[in-house]
Amino acid sequence: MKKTLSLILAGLLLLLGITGCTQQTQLNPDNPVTLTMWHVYGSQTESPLNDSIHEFNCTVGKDKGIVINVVSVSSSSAIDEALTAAAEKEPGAPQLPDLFTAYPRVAEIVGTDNLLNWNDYFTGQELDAFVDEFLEEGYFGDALLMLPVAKSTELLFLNKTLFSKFGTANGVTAESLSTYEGLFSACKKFYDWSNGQDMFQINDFYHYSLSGMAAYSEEFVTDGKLNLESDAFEKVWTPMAHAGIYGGLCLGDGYASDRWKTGEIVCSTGSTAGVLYLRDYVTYSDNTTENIETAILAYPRFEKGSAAVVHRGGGLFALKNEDACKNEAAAIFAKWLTQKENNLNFVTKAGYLPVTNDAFNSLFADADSVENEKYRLLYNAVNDMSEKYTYCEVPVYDGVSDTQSSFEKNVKTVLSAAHLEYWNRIADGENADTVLDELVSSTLAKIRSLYQ
Amino acid sequence: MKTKSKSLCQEFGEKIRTGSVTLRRQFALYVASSIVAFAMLLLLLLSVFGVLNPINGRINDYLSDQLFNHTAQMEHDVDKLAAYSVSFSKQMETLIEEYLRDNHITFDDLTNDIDALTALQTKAYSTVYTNIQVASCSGAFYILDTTVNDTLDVPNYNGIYIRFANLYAESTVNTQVALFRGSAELARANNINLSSTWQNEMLTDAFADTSIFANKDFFLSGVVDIPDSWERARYLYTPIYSKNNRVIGICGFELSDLYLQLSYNTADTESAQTICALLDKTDAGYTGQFISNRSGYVPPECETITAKKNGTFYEYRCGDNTYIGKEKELVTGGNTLTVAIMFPKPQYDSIMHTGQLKNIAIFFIIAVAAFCNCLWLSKKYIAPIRKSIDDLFVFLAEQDQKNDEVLAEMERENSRLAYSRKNEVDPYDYEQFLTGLKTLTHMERVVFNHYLDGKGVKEIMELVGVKESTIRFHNRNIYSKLGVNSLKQLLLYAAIMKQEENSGND
Repeated sequence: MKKTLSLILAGLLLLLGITGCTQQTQLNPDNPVTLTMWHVYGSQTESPLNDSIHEFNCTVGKDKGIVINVVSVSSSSAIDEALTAAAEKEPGAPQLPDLFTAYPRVAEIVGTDNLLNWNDYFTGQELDAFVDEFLEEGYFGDALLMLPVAKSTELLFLNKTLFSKFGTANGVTAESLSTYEGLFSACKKFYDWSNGQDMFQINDFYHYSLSGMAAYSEEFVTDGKLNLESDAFEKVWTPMAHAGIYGGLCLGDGYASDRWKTGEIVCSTGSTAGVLYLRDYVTYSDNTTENIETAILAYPRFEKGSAAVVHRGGGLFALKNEDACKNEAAAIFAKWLTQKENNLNFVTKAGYLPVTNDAFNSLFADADSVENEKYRLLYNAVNDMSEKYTYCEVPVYDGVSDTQSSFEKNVKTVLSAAHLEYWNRIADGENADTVLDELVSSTLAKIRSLYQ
Repeated sequence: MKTKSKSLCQEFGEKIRTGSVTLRRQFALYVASSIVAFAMLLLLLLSVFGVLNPINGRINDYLSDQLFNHTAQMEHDVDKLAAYSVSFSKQMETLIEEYLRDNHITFDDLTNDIDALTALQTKAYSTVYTNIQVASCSGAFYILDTTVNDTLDVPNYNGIYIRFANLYAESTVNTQVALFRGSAELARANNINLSSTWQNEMLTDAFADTSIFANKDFFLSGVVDIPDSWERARYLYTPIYSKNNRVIGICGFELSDLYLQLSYNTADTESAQTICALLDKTDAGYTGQFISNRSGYVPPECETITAKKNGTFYEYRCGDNTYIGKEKELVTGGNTLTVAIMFPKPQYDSIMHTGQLKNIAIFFIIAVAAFCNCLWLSKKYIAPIRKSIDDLFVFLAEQDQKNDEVLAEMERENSRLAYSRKNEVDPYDYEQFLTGLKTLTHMERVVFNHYLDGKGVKEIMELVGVKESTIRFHNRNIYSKLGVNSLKQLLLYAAIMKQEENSGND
């Protein structure tokens, strides 16, 4: 009798076990877990990361039961705004994605407690494979919340075809663009030569100031505030303000790559990733096009400063999910994306730098092997810079996002106003050099006053 | 005789007792069967009346509800969008007419006039921007049958095409727009970025699937790749007429895959990732757009989706993936589309498998419950009955034993009396009796045996069917032949004879 009852109980438990456990506790290829993702690698054009994700979904993802669904490809600032709206549950805000790429500053917005700690999923050995400096940026206390998947630095992109027309006529060589002083001087000449066109666009005035002050061994941000009172800032501001007030330095909004498309600028500084958006032709207003040759040069340095450049690139964040399968799926994807071959495949199509020592050394040991000529130029330029430049990180502090965007806006506003005033006063017959010097000083004072 | 009687009683008692165990088992079996039959009947009735819906039925209900809701919603939205599109067209007609009138030019004069076309774009921008903001769409555009440069090898249409740059949600409030097609000068003036795949004008084959300048109020196109992009979209457009009723362009809205995904994503269920699809029929099957569920799951892209009716549901194949679902026709925007709701077949199989296991579990539990119930009933009711029967048999056995003892005593007394009587009887008379028996006729023997059985004259009359005088006649003959004077003497001699026969047998 006891034996019969035991058998019945065992049977019941087994049946309840089979039928009752409907909640999936392990990844299952027949019932895949979907992770939504926002990222910045590609914008509205063909996205290299989307290609990599497609490959992941068709291989490892399919085998393990993971689908990465890219919901949005946009810019880091747009992701910041959307994350803020989602985190603060603003009306009409989107749902937070499971995965997103962003700068470290978003960790506070989303809440560090809501983010997956990659340390829980990567072994010490796996983390040791990453470039140390890239990894450090992702730590918040002991938790590794941002995993580097691609990094970048800044370079000078030059429309060689347009520049050669101007250079030949004015005796300006590409070598003169290796320093900001030479570059801003060329801007003024270009402005005169082209009857008021801009030659050069700084993609990010905040980064320009950050690397410029680093070149003079000073920090742009101290105690969470912009350090504009220092002499180093004046040294950084002055040559830039000359070109901005006189003309030739673009002070308009929008990406440099937009003006590159229409031939409205000749060169720009910006992230290596900008190479993805640099067309090999320009389109004019009559809808005709002209093929161009692109040169990718080292980031300009200051004549009296050391060589310094910003090291850019956010990383991969994952929302901590109650469903352990989703967390595990995120980790599997992150590991796959940072494996040497996969990482190189992705970053070299997007103009980024790989994040593991092995992949990094492999790329630069043979940068000439990169197939696309423009990308080969890019990696050669980065390789040339690697031992000569100091790389500085973009500091994270309270309100960094707002400060960064307001600084950008204020610089453009102050210099644009000064530009108009300069030409009005020249038209009124005032001495050009005197007015320019005066306006450079007044704009410096103005921008300082805005951040006191 | 006594021993034989006892063993029969014990055997009977044991048989009864053994029989009580069989009876108990039978009882348990009957009760268990009844409970199981009742439970199954109950389940059947509950299923028939829909209280307990089978899994397939529940899936069907769920898919039907989703399908109905999505189809109704899409029909409503496309209808609304068509209304906006017609309104957009009227606004553009007025705007173009005003521009041409104010500048004293005709529509044909716009060709190759960069300044005029840029000025027209500048004038039209706010209309396009307003429409993209108010309509439920991912992009808005107008294109005119004119160009800034008609000398180019590839013909173009001039106009404005703006798209939301960073779509995250259906709500596009505060979402930036980018200029996809149009003058770069326009983008600068309105402080918007150029799309990364921006071009000055739109290639005339951008709407390759249909004749875009056909005289239709509005038309919802099939799905096309957005040029130079990883996205796909369908377009809802309306013709723009000149004042002399000539179609000079079109305007309308873009519905990208992403926008649809964000707008119509289906509700999540625990075990199924339901997706919606807006499909166009082709010779090979379907093409179209998939709309993810809330978890974001959307099938990998495939060129053609095939559908095969399989019982209640359709089985859809998209590349290596198979889905189970239902579909409904949607006639809207001058086009016939198919709305389908589906989920991956492996999940369907998993749900069905789990359901089957649950059914087995239910029946198993009922059977176990019935078995336990019978055990309890048996213990509670059958065991006391069995004990009473056992006690009864013990009692009856005791009574048997007592009766046997009485019977034996009586038999002993009978023998003793017979022996005693025999000694009192004259041997000669007794010998005559035994000899006389052999001389009795058949009828006399019949009457004699009835006397031995204790019957009276009247009873014998009835049994034999003769008159009393006949009986008396036989009596006289019997007495005479046996040498007895009375019935009493006859019965005495007969008893002695019987006793002797029994002794002889023993």
